[in-house]
Order: sequence, then C-alpha cells, then structure tokens
Amino acid sequence: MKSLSTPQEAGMASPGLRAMVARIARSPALATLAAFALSIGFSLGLLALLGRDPVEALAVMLDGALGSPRAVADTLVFMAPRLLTALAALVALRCGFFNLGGEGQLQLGAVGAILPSTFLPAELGPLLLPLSVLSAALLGGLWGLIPAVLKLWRGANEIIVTLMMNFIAIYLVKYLVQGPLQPPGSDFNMSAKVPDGAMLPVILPGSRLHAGVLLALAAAAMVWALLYHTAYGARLQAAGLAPGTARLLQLPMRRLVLSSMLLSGALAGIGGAVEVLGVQYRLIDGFSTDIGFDGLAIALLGGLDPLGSVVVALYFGAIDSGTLALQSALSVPAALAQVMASLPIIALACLNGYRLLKGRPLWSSTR
Amino acid sequence: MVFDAVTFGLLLASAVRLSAPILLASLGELVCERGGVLNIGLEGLMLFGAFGAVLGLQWTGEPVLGVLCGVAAGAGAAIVLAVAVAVLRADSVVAGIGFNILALGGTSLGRELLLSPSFTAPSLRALASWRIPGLWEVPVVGRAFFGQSPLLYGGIVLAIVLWAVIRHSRPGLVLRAVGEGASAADAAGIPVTAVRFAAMVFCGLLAGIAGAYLTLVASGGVFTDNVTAGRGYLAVAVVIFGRWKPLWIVLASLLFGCADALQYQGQAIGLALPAPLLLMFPFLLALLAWIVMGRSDAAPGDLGVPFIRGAR
Amino acid sequence: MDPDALLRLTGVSKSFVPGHPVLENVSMSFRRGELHAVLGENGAGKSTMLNIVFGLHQPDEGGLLLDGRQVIHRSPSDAIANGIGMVHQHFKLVPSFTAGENLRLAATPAARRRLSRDADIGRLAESFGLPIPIDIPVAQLPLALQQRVEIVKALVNEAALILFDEPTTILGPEEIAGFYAVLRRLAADGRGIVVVTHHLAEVLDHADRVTVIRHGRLVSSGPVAGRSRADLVRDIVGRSLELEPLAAGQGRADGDVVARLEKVSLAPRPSSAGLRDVSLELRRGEVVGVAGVEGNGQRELFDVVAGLVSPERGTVTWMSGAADPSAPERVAAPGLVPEDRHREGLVLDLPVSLNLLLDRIGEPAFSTPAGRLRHADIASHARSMCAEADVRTHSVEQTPRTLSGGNQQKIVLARALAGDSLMVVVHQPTRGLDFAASEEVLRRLRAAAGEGRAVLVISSHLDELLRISDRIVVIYGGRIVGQLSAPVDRERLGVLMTGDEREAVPA
Repeated sequence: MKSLSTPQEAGMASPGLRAMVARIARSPALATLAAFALSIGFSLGLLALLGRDPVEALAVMLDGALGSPRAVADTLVFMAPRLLTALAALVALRCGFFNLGGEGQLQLGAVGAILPSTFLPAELGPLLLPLSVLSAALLGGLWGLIPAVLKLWRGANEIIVTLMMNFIAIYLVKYLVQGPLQPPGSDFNMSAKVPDGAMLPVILPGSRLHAGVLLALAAAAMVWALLYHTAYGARLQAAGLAPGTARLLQLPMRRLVLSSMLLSGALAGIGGAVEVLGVQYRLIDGFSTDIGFDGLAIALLGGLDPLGSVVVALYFGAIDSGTLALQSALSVPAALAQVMASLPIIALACLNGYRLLKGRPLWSSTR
Repeated sequence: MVFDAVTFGLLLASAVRLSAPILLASLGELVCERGGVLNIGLEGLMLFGAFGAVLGLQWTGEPVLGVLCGVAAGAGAAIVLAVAVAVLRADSVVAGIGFNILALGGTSLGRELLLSPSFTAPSLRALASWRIPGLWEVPVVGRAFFGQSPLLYGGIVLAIVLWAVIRHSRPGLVLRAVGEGASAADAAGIPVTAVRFAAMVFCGLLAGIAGAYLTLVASGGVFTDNVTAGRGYLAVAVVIFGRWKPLWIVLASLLFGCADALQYQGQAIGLALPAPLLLMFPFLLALLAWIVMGRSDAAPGDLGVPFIRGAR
Repeated sequence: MDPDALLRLTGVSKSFVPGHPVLENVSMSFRRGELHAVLGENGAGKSTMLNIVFGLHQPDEGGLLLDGRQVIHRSPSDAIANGIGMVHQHFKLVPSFTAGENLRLAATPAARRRLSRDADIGRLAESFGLPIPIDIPVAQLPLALQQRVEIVKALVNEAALILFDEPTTILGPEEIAGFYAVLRRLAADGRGIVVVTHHLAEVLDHADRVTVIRHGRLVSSGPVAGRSRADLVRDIVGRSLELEPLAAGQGRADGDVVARLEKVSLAPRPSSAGLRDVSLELRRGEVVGVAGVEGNGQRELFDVVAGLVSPERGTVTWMSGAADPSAPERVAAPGLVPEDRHREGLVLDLPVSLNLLLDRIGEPAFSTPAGRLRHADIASHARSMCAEADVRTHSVEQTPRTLSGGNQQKIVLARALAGDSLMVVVHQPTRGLDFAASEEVLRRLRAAAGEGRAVLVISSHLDELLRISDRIVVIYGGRIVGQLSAPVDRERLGVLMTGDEREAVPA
C-alpha cells in the first residue's frame, strides 16, 4: 500500500517558514529580536511611505538614541520609568496577577512624589528626596493593592478593574493639578516646581542623566535577587506558574498576591516619582505617554525576566529618544514612537499564540 | 441643586446622546464576548472608526459616506486584530493593549498627515438628529428619546435584534456554543476560528459606527487625538455590567451616558464638581459596579481562552 | 486487504514532537456490524488514532479509506459529514447548554430539519432506546446520562461508525454490561463500533475484534475468538507478565489512629457529588483503598482528608499517632499525591530541586532567616531525595517538564513521603504511567505503610486497589456505602460501586 501524505496542518504554508516560526517561538530571546526587527522594518517602511529616506531616518534615530553621551543619557532617562513599570508588571505577572494598572499606579506615584514637597517645609533639603520616593512607592502600592483586594474578596476580574483604575488615576491627577495642587494665580495644569532637595540629582553634568536611572537599575537587581534567590521568590513563581500546586502545598496564596501587588504598585509608583522628580520637577496633566502600558510590553518582551527587561527597556528608551531626534530633524510626528512601541508587543502576542499551540505559552491572561 | 423639568430634560437628552457610542461599541463587544473573545482592542477599533469617519467626510463631504468610511476603518482594523487573536491565538488582552497603542499612534500620525485642520465640516444635522414628528415635542423626555441621531435608533433596534438572534436562532446558538465550550463546538463540527473571526469583524463594524458617532455627531466632524478617551474600555465594562444581555446593556449604556453627561450638564443642575472628577465618574461607576455585584456566573465559559484543538 | 472494511487506516504515522512518533505506520480496518476493541497502555497512541479518524489531528503520513475511497478529515465537521461519530473520554458537550441545545448544535443540516422542537429530540432519543432529559443543562446531569447524550449526538447525524474513547471509566461494573448491550444493538443495525479501553475483561466478554497498539505500533489485530487474557496482556506490555505480590492484607489494623473523619459532609454541586456523613479512620501501618466510579466524591474526600477544604458538617482530626487518644496533638500536614500531577503536583517550569522542597523551602535548612535561598544545600538535599526515590534526571536543575510521567510522579511521591507526616493521601497514583512506573509507585506506597505510615489510596483502578489495600471502602454518591477487608470479594465490590446495595458501615 502506498502511503499518502496529507497537507500540513492549517495555518502554516511552507515547511521552511514553519520551521523558522517554530524556532523563533521556542526561544523567548529570538522571539523578542524578531518582534523588534519587525517593528523597525515596518516603521522604516512607514517612513518611506511618508516620503522620508529610510536609511537617513535610521541614521538620525541611531544618532539621536546612541550617537553621543547626551543621546545615550536621553535614552537612559526615557528608559528609567519604563523599566520600573516593567518590573511592576513582571512582579505581578510572575504571581499570576494580570496587572494592567501600571499606568494608574504610576500616576498615583507621581502624586505621592509631589506631596512631601507640597506639605513639608523646603528646609528639609535633601531629606525631601527619600521622603518623596517613599511616599510615591506607598501611594502606588496602595493603588495596586485595591485590585488585589477586589479580586481576592469579590472575585473581580483584575483586567477590567485595573483598566478602570488607570482612568480614575489619570483624572485624579488632572483634578489635582487644576485644583488643590495648582499654585495660586497659575492658569497652567501643573503643580508648583519641587524644591531642589526633592529633585533627583543630575549625575552626568551637561546632560539630563539623573539618579533615577540608577534607582531603576537597582530596582531591577533587587527584583532579580528576590525572584531567584529568596524563598519568597520561589513561592511567588510557583503560585504564578501552577496555582493548583500552590494550593495543594498550602502556599499562602492571599499573602503572595497581596504582597506582590503591593510591590508591583510601589515599583510603578517609583516610576512616577522618577519621571516627576528627575525630568519634569512638577506634576503635569498628561505627563505620562502610556509609560505604564510600555512597562507591560517591556516585561513580556523581556521574557518576564528582570535582566531581559533592562535590555528591552533600553530599546524602548532608544525608540523614544530616536523618534524625538527624528521629529526635530525630519519633522516626523512624535506619534511614530507609539507605533514603534506597539508593534513588537502585538508580534510577541502572536508568537505566544504559537507557543500556546505547543503547550508552552509564556503567559496567559486567563486561567 | 437646581432640578426643574427643563434642566432635567437637557440632562436626559445629553445622557441619551452620550450613551450612543458606548451602546454601539458594547453591542459589538457583546457579540465578541458571547463568542469567547475578550476584545480589549475595542478602544483602538473605535479610534480607527472615528478617524476613518473624519477622513471620509473630508474626502467626500458627505456625512453618510463619512460614517461608511468609519465603518470600513473599524472593520478593516478588526480584521487585522482578528488575524492575531482568532487565527494566530494571540492573547487578546496583550494584543488588544498593543493594538490600542498602535491605534493611538497611528491615528495621530494620520491626523497630521492626512487630515486638514482648516476643513469646515458640512452640516451634520441629518446625522445628529432625527426629530420624530409629534413625539419629539413631548415635554422633558421628547428631546431625549425622539430627537436623537439615527445611529442611536439603529443601535437600539440592533440590541433587540441581537437579543432575538442570540437567544432564538441557529447563528446565536453557534455563537454561544463557541463562547461557552469551544472544544465541544469544534467536536460538533462548528468552525470555531471562523465564528470568532466573524464576531470580531462584526464588533469592528459597530466600533466603527461608534467612533464615527463620536467625531461626526458628538464633536462636529473634528478628529482630536485620543478622541475616544477610554470609552472603548468603558464599553467592555458595560458588557460585564450588563451581564452579557443586550437589553441590560442598553440600560447600562444609558447609565454610563448619564455619568458622561454630568460633565457637560453638571453645572446646569448645580452640581459644583470640577470637570475632571465628573470625567472620572463613569470609570468610578464601573469600578463600584464590580465591588457591589462581585463575580458573575453569567460570563461565557470560555471567555478569553484561545481555542486550541485537543486542549481540554 | 480487507474487503469488508468500512474504514481503513493505511500506514498512518503521527508525531507531535519531531522524532517522537505517537503512531508509526499503523494500518488496520473497522467493519460494519462489528464491535471492535482497541487495547493498549496509556500513551500507546490509541486516542491519537481515534482523533485522527475524527479529524481532530491530521496524520503526518498515511491516510484514511472510507468504503475504499480516500478521505481527508481536516476537522471534525469533515468526519461528521462522512458518517463518523465520536464519544470522547472527556465529553464534548457545552456544559451550560441543555441536551436539546447540544444535539441541535451538533446536528447536520439534514438532521436539523427533523429536530426543530425539543419534543422531536426526545422522541428520537427514545426511539434508540436511550431516553434523556432534554431541557436541563447537561452539566447538571450524571456522567452516565451525559454519555448517553453523546451517543444520541452521533446517532442523530446517522453515523455509520461510532468511536468511543475509554467509555467505561465513568461507569460502575454493573452498568458496563448494559452499556455494551446498547453498543451491540447499535452494531446489529449495521454500524461499526470502535471502543478504546484498557479493560481486558470487557474486550473478552463483549468485542468481536481486537486490535492492540504498543508504543504507537500495531501489534495485533483480529477476531477476539481464540484470544486469551494472557496473550492479550503479552501483546499490550510486550512480555509476559507476572505481577509481583504487594502483600495486601498484611498491614496492621491495630496501629494508632492518625486521622479520623466523623460524619463529614459537603453539599453537592452541579460538578460534584459532595460528601455525606463520611466517617473513616486511618491507622499507622495500614493501606486503605477507596474504590468507586469516578465523580462520586473522591476529589472531595481527597481535599477534606488533605486539609485543603474544611467540611461543612462533621469533623476531621489529625493526630500525632500517640497511644493516648485523649491527648490528640495536631501534626504536620499529610503527604499528598494529587490526581493531576501537572496542575496540582508539580510546577513544571521550576527546577526539580525546588519542586521537591517547595513546601519546606522556608525551613532554616534551605533558607537563611532573611529568606535567602541556600542553593547548595537545596541542591544536595534534592539530589539525595532523587537518588532515594530513583528519579532519573541529569541534574536537579532540570525542569519536570522535560521528564517522563513516571519520573514526574516519583518526584511528587518523594515530596509526599519526605516530610515527617504520618499519613500519605494519594489520588489516582498510577494514572498515565507505564507498567514499570506503576509498579514502582505501588511498591513505594506499600513500603510507606510498612514504615508505619497511614496510607489512603483513592483510585478507580480496581486491580491496583485489590493488590495494595488492607481494607477497601467503597464510595458512591458522596457516601461510604461499604467496607471490605482483604481478601476482598471482587463481585461484592462491583455491586457496591454501583450503589445497588448498601452495607452498614461500622463507625
């Protein structure tokens, strides 16, 4: 009997392409690289469509992101808050909690960062900075705790709750800078400038590079140590990867979820503080351009690993500083940055679908 | 607080008017979710629809063609998203968030490159209000319920049709089966992927109309960046709030429309709250709804779960 | 070549992971009017074969001939259109739909016209001798009735060939004969019936033909007449098999009580039988088996004895095993081996070392007071546990995902036996394991009793319970309906499992 071969399973055209997709999907690092390549290629194509020379545009972007110490400083400054919101997303996701509320927690953190400067005497000087960061972490953490409490005690879907809370936080900031925190006589939607003592010091004179970058990197190292080198991290990972097993072994699920969301919110909150105390020095309506959502994308693209997140956050920082250069040099709208940031995460979501087919998704928003 | 019949009538009319985009979008989301897809990309679909409608209006000068362009933009964008989510099994939440950022950036780019800021829109009155003779002059409620956009009336008719279709027809049975038990539907020979794809494109059509409504009816033919301002996310919450039932969703949309209307009419009724707090109100309402109602058993069994043949 | 064949598989091969074929060049045929049994160990490829026929998977090589004509089943709808029906092991019913809705959903356009009203469906089901309640969500029906809905589903579409994947695991011994009578009637009308099972007795009693698959290859296929139990076993496991006696009945019935359940109850739910007034004592040195048809409260019993769920009524007491029962002292949590080792037993993507020690990771031996892990101590301790439990890994840093089912179960078992607990509770301990691994697991459980632990084995696998237990209690509808001591009368056990008779249970 002659054996008959049947068509390949639906969806994959040629065996070569199929093998390539399989290979990329198997390795999270390759998947991320492929996603980046895709987004750069698409964006250059878009630029060509807009009548810009793609080669020139790429050169301008590279120069704007990495071409000089100042450019690198800009990239790092863009990276810092995004790395912090990425760590926030990562800590929650590792515990199986789908925290889409990084944006809101960042906003609350920004509020927290302003409060000590507003209510405490400026004479406290450099003491104001740690107080501000602490207050940012606290407010962000408490904001992150709310969806955890709602999920554990009311069965509320964290995806919807955290999304709603983002908007509540954004409008809360809008309210504060138009009302209570607006300096008397001002018409601008922003708070007063914080005293020097509350600012994150510039660490490379002549650039914008501030101490918040070090803070973000230190946070990444701390999360890495926490995940891989503590008993808490082992339990956290177990709870996220196999909730059924965690239940059987009677790991303290509630405590794990609450503590990880407190930490997650605090990290995002510090992200808000870094943006406010390191870049703008005041609370401004709309200061964050989706930094919280960028964080989610970075965490996933970084393979839910703190060190991976540092690398991906650098890429996101480079996109932001690069497109800024592109805007001034070739008058390309800044919205290109959003397009470039969104494409890799969509591509990664699709690759995750392929991993899911093979039974090993990197993450899942449903259980 | 001032609360006479006239201001009440104005508030009501404004509430009904503002409930329309949420209603249309949440009906689309309803179809998606009954088919098992949690479509977080709704916000982006609305944004593309809103942009497409203004682009169409500027190209053709015809409001109706503008709406059609919005619908086409919404559906076209939905096809892209559906390829990712329904066909490639991308996680609908992450892909949806990414898609929303893409929509934000993409429409903003498009506005700078394709839209003319000095364009003067033709009269959009035909689109904005159909006065139903006799009824619209009824005091207090007349303007609210009988002087609205044909798109809104269409939305209400659609809710009733959807109710009947989902509950009593074969397509409704198939849609529900795909959402409640995808692998069982698959074993019964239902093409799960195709059904989910179609549901998402249908959602895109409606999100496109909702977006067109926002720009052509609610803001006089002008597209501003992020014109949806979270209404797509709200519509997702409305579907949950409305317990996945079309008629409850109509009522929930109206409630959210009221919350939205307070930002415009709040002053009139003497509600002396600052605008940002009023803007926050719909989202707060959605959150409170969760706290009060808690978890729902009405959710489709396979909501948000990508379909994998052979998985249990 | 088989001229009477209704459906033929020609050289079918399939692998999900390249290089690891699940089926290899299988050719065989199913005939009209015949009851064809397919035998094989877990993972032999039986279910994959059915899934290929039903279009759930596509073969990598080879194909299907239906009445001599080549067909390609890309999806179940192709198979259904070609007159093939399938009753899956885990039913493919939309749980929130009624039987009527499920049947209408699955009906082909031709069948739909005849089924526009619920009454039509009810009448049709009765005409096959399979009455079903039409307007209750199927999730609320007992499993045997859900199975009936599945059979009617195939019949509605006028299937000429009906595939059954492990249909009898949810039936009690007394129901099985009735079930095969139904199949016989369906075959007598000219349909082909295929039953995948691993119960030899059923095959010898009821089937016309039998096919044995081992490691994805066809071993034998032919009439049942003339086959004996012994030579079928040889075909299944690849060698003649002498079961090592496991010394059932040699445990001490006088050991100290370490756990006592008194009139424990949990309310039944749509998906659960709940528990009703369950009283049970577990003693050191004794293996207690819990027999029953799946879904009769086993899960709930496991959760309650394990301390994962508190009973709604009644009490569970864990004791230190001290001779003086008037001073019971709470002891360490029992060692647990759950039913689903992938979801509840292991963290597939964390290292073996952490899996072994996860429940004790906070102890001073494994982490500093500040919570930092002592990696070296964890690794060395894990290595010695692996050596003791015969877990075969290259390194304890490997993840369980890369290990075989047998090795995975050994990890779960090693963790359960590692603590200082006096009690081990296991649920379906050999599910999905091959023969050698199953024997190893049973041997270790028996040894645990020999060391003076109390062992509770909840299983639907009667043979293993009979071999290992000192005492068997039977659970039915959430109630303990009988208790038998070794040597256990098999017939009597069967009667009890279907709930036809109840015995007074000594308190």
